[in-house]
Amino acid sequence: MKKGHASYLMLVYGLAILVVTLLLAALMFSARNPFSGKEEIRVNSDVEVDLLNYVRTPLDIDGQSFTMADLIVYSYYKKDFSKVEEYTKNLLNPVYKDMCAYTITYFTPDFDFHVVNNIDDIGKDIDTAEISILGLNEEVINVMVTQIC
Amino acid sequence: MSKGEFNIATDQYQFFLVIPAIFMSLIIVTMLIAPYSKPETSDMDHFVIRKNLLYSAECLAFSDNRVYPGIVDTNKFEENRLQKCLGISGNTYGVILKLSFDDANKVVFVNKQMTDRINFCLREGSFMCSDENVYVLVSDGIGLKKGILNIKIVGFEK
Repeated sequence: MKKGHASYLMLVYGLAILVVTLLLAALMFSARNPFSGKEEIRVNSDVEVDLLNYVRTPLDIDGQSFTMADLIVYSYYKKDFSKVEEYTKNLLNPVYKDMCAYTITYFTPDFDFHVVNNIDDIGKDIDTAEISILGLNEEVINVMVTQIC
Repeated sequence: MSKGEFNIATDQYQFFLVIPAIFMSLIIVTMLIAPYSKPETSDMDHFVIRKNLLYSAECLAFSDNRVYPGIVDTNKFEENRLQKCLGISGNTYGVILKLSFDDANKVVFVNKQMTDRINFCLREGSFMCSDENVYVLVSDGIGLKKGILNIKIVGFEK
């Protein structure tokens, strides 16, 4: 190959790469970046406020004053979650309505012992918050709320 | 080929091929990792407004010797106080708060210049709006009551 011919090819090829590079740079650093992906996990919901208020909600059951946290611990020992389920649905269904699905899971470090939800199947893209309550013998009882809107 | 000609060709090779290739590699690598490293921040401002409302004693959070995040003090449910606490005025953000507890409903419009534009949220355009229900406890001076705080925020698209 002649020297002049090779330099010409090099020039054309080099310029093509330069143009592509500049185009990519322009796309990347433009105001609306077409390559920036959406974050899968939402970090901007108030689900932890919902959970905090949920466990400290005052309840009056048969003339006795409880909080929801007390009722959860009581139900854990009695192995009867009917009251928890009833009060949870009364509290949270009006908040989430049809806009959001929620699942509340009650568990110890060893196993999940109860679940309350308004819709059975909860998909991806969820917000979660978790809180721990101490039992009578200092067992850790966790409550986790999972929400999708 | 003389020695001088070889050097000229090498310089051209570096200038037109190697340097752009390095830049392009950097850009491609940046593009590949960008979606994983850059969080979505478009509605982060709304998130901060909601957090201020619920967590700050200057806004709605009930306080005695300490602050109780998420417990709404009905005495603080007042337009001027909330406007000052959030620091919003003019063409920034508008916040509509509706507090429902017992059989009562209280509504506050913070920065009416923006809340008047709530109907623009119905269609896509230059406004960005959010609408969220939060489960709250309400302190009305008598005791704690269950309530729902609906927070609507109107702002401009970034």
